[in-house]
Amino acid sequence: MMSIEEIEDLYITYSENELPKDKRAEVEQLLQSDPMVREVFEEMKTLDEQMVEAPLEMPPPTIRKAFEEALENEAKAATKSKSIRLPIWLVAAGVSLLAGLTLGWLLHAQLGKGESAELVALSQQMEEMKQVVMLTQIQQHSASQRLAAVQASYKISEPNDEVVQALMIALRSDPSDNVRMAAIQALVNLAPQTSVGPGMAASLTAQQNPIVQMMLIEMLVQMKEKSAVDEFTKVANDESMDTQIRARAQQGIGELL
Amino acid sequence: MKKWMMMAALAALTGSSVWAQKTYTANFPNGGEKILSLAVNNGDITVRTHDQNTVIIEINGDDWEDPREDDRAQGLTMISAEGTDNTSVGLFESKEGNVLSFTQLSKRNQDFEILVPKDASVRLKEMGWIGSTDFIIEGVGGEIEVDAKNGDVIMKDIGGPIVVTAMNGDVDVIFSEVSQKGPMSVNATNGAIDITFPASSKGDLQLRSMNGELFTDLDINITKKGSGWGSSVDGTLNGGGVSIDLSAMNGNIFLRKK
Repeated sequence: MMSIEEIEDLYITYSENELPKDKRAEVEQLLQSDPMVREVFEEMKTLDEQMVEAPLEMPPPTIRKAFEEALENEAKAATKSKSIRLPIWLVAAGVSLLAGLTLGWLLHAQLGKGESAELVALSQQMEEMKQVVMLTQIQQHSASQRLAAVQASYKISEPNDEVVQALMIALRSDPSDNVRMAAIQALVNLAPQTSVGPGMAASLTAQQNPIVQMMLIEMLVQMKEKSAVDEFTKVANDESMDTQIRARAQQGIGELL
Repeated sequence: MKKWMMMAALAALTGSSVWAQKTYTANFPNGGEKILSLAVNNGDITVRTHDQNTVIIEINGDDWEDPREDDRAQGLTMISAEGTDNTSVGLFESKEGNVLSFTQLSKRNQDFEILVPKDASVRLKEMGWIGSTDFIIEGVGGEIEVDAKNGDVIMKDIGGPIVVTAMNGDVDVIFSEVSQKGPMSVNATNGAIDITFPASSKGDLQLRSMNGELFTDLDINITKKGSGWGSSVDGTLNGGGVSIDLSAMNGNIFLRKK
């Protein structure tokens, strides 16, 4: 049984046509017989396509230069340690797409030359890249593209804090209420693995549209999120809010206690 | 000339104002996607297409409702928190990336009749609660985003993707085809959602109506039912396709076959 990382490595060598014929046939055999291999390959292929399709919007030269330096340091560090983390400031600076693209390009280029086995370690960061690409989509694109990004998080096997954070940001501040509602759904899906309930409850007062408020209350009740009681009480007592929403919050308090 | 004379005569006869009309022509930033963004305070927006690459905006309003017609404003420029009148027609124009943006500076009632290239995308928004902006969109080939407060949203002969939020109005959409380019989503808080699809359309539907009902004559293959949100149904159209989420809180959802 191969690990996900091993399958991801395999995908890269396979997609780069780096495998000898007999090995290639072996992979194709594996694709037929192993649904897990097939799934990982499909995910990687989607990511690959997303990276190609992503618009080449260049960040300002100063940020790019800083990024290139950071990447160089990361690459140097890779020779010492297998664990590479994308710098957090990079994500924060909103140039995460460039990070994903450059990392991808570097990875493929290096593998193409068959050099620097240590850089192969980068392939294990593909999951992170997938998340980085998603974050960027949330920040930069059309409402439909942002919806696609939020919906892509349904497929992430191990959501990290950044994904949860990105979804929370979408829930609190995406300009489109449609995207906010999709984010609620995505967060509900992640609820069994991560503690998203308190953050979802806290976002209730950041919502203007009753339909978003209603969906949040429904989901928090379904999740049996007890920490929501305080927020529900605020809503129930807020005379500026929709009467229907206040009544639903009041009822929700009873359901949670 | 004849038109002006007729209008002047009409004004003299009825004692009412002259219907003031202004036209502004703009170009998209060079290359790439063409995205038009318009945010208004008050007045209806109609978007249709033409065979040119430009955007033409025709603005109609009663003259006493147009602050630019005020004598005291002669020679001065309108400013607001949203921007400065850099178009001479009461709009603030800006360009960022592929997006050509306009913001209505006045809070008076002005109607906007817009022509865009066939492949353009539009992002339209009613900014506040001053008026009741109806959105009429016909034949637009790109993505369509609408954020409506009091007005209705009416679309015809479009493919999407569409992403629509309507707070108090209805959403009426007639698709000529259903684009598989990206997910779609419509939510209506107090109004109804009424959508007509060509019979062969493909999609993964997620339908939710909190207090309303769902009606259809489409062949929806229902895959999931009910999840604590009033009437809630997931289903596929013609084997499935792009994700289409429709949510209503107080209104009904109507899905029709063309």
